[in-house]
Amino acid sequence: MESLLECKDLSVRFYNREANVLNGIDLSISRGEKVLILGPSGSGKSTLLSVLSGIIPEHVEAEVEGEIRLAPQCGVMFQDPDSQFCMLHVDEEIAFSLENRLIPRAQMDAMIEAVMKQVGLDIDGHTPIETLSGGMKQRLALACLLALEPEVLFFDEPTAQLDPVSRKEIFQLLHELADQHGQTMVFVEHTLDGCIQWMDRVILMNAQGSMIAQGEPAEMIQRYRAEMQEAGIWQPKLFPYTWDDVQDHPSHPLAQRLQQTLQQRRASALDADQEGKGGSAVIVTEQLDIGYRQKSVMRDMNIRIPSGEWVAIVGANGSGKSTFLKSLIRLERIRSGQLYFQDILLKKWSDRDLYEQAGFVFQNPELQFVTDTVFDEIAFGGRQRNWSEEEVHARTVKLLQEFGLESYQDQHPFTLSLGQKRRLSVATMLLFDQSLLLLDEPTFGQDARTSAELIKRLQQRQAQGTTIVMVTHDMDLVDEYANRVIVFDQGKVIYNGAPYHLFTHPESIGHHAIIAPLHYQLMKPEKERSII
Amino acid sequence: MKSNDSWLSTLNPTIKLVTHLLVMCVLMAVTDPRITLAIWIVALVIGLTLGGWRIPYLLKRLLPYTIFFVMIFWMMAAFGKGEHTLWQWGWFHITEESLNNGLMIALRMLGFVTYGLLVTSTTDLTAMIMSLVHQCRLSPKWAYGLLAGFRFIPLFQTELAQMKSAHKIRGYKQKNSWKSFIRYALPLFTQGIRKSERIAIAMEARGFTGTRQRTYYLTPQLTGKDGWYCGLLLVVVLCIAVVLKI
Amino acid sequence: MNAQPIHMTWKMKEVVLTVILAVACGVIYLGWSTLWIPISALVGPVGAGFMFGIWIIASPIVAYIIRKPGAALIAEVAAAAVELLTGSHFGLSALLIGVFQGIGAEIAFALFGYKRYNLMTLMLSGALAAVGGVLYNVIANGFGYYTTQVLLLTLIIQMISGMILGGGLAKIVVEALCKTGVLDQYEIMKARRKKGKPNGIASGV
Repeated sequence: MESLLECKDLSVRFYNREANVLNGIDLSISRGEKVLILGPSGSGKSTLLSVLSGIIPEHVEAEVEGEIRLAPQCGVMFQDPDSQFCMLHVDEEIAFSLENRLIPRAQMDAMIEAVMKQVGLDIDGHTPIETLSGGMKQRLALACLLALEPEVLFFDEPTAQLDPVSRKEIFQLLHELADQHGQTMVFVEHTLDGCIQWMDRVILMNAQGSMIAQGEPAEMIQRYRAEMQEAGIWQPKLFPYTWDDVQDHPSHPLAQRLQQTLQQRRASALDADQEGKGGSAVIVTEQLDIGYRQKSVMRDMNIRIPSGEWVAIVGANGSGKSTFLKSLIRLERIRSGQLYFQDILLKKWSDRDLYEQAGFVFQNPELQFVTDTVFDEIAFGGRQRNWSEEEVHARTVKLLQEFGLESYQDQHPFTLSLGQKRRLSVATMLLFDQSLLLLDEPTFGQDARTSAELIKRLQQRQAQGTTIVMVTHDMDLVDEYANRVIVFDQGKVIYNGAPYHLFTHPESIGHHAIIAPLHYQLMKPEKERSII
Repeated sequence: MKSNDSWLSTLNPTIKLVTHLLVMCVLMAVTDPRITLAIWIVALVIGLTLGGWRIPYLLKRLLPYTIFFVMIFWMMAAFGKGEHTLWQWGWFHITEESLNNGLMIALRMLGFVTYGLLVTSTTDLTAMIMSLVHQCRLSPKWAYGLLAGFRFIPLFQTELAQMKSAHKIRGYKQKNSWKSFIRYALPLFTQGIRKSERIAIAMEARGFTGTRQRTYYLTPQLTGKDGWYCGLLLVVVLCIAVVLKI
Repeated sequence: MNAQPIHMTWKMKEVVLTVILAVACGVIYLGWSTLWIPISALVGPVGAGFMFGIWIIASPIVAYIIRKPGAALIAEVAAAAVELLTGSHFGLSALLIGVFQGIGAEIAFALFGYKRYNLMTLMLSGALAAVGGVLYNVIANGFGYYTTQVLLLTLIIQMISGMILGGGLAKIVVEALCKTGVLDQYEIMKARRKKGKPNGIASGV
């Protein structure tokens, strides 16, 4: 196969840094090849992608050494669905690609229609982009790239900001595209499920910006499991095995592991059922109607959240999960019905008392920060309440240690990494040992390692009695940690109970976009087999 | 800024903008409240006949400005100069002249708002910017840059609202002081800067050069009716100014 | 490459940065301007002038970061356009005020050949933006009908406010932004690196 792009002894340094981001990279990519670049954050994998796609040094300044041969025409898809568009409507955005290529106006309509069809954007061409969901935006981004008729497509974590269902769809779409047109593709990704099985080659980088190894995906996964774990890459749940293998051979190592997990879940579900519904409730709602602006999004909710539980709220985008979370602590107005917080009507709580009892972690932690250093950020509430400086200090230091932020205490909160920002934002919400912690998609957009670090701390807090309510799309998280899962759909609560029962009987809530964790998939054939 | 299905929305955006700016210049030159009132009424008539406005819409859009109307009127009236004092209390000082002047300024404000609304309620933002590219030789670099930036208005607005709730939980008091400006500005700015860099890179990676060497999906044209509208409106407004002056 | 004193051509990322920062300022102004008129009604144009500087902060912020001719003017006009686009306030007249204030702010940097960007020029731009704003008001709103003392006092207070809340605050905000590292690829940080270590950049050539 002919080589389409290559680099020899490539090194890159940004002008404001001392060390090189990339060190002596040798790489050659052939026509039609699908390549996946993996590595820890700071390993320069995005930089490598930028060099191969010609963004560096053409549009981003950097010192580049080595020999590079680029493909004549390429397209790059980025992770943030919001910051790759410049127009207001779908058709104009695709046309922008065509305008840049000097395509005559008369040919544009047909070409726009063609690429929209190709990416499965089955909407009116003049739809405003801001009304699209994240998954649809990424489809649009792909349509805009296809309109460039690129020889190589580059993907810089294209699904990092998508929920699992949209991620699966995008990967499927890309897989089809790769198969049908033999498109050359280069990926940087953290999530391997859905893409690694159809890659031709995996390239592994280390934190110093050098290439450790490259090779066949299956071989790489097995040989470099430890390195990948260290790098915070989400381990594939199935690959390199295939589902047929696992399903047909109960002695298969993965099958055994899944069986084991399943049995654990079953046991703990039984325990929980026997414990019954005793204990006090943090939140009780009666015929609660909540909404956003003029619209009512959830109606007639009767929910009881026992104290000390870990509750997951799941549902499609726009189903009112975040609105519900905000309504619990008066950030959104209640339209009708009653809401009791610790057995007292919510509206009777003063702001000060309420927020000493309940904390809220926003999806974008930056919006919550009100001071200039990490230390002050945690200490803020105590100082506001005129605690003695010793007490402020003692409590703050304790939280800094608990959340692994001691060494950053004098930094500006904005300079932290996303994972650290999230941890800081949780820490600021625990200065008063709040008994209820609300989190809006706390693991969203994070790699496996930083997610695990946050979850570990939440678990410790739950063990001490804190009630945790989180909105999430991650069903593995729900399965592993939540005591209760509440499913929102079209204005109603359609499930409220233990995750185990939801995942073992997904049909009970109808056809819904909930992908149960892998071990539950074993149940189906098991049943079928017993029938035979 | 969105277009509607009215006749006014079929006009060339640049011509519409320039015409209305010219009318506003006439409004600035006029000092008689009667003339200002008449020119304002012309705007209402255009809106209701050619602009596709309905009475409820008009009331909804203009009602907030009646509050401003009263306040501006008061401000001009109570701090003006003049010989014939009508009322004086503390630092407020109302004279006949200032009263008259207040009425004129307040009406002028309403006129500005209404003529502005005639443009914004009947023009699509993309068409406006594209028209500036074609009719005013605005550089594509700025045209597409402006569009890319204006997309962020709703996002920034939701973020600002979120920040207010986030601060409420933290117990951070929002005073309208310069310090709270920094508190609100910093998160918006850092995010904005990061996003702007990514957008610019994404645009260039898609082959955008910023030069005029490109084709266009949207090309707003100049037609005869643009000239008619511009000419007729200016004649009517000038006639009103002259006739009522006598 | 780094020998050129002023880069006249705008890079795409500078264009988008200018617009986005201006838009962010415009969104913040919206919050402020709902308070503006009620306050003015109570304390008159003189008293309301104390907060004036906030309205013109887009110019010094952007000019200080980008350091190019036209930055101050474009930023202020784009910020004013936010009011036009959200349709909530004074529409076209806001745009006109923006033009006047922007020209005022721009003059400050032009006077020094677009070579000096420090607290002094930032404050000067705030003050001159105030002059532009008052000029517009004289033309459009008939400030001429106020007593001369009121007019002068307004001008002086707005100029002081423009210097402190416009220029001074802009400097504080931008310095805070520099610390977060987001401006590393822009002219302001490049100029600093050039000053700091002369070889740091030249090695790329």
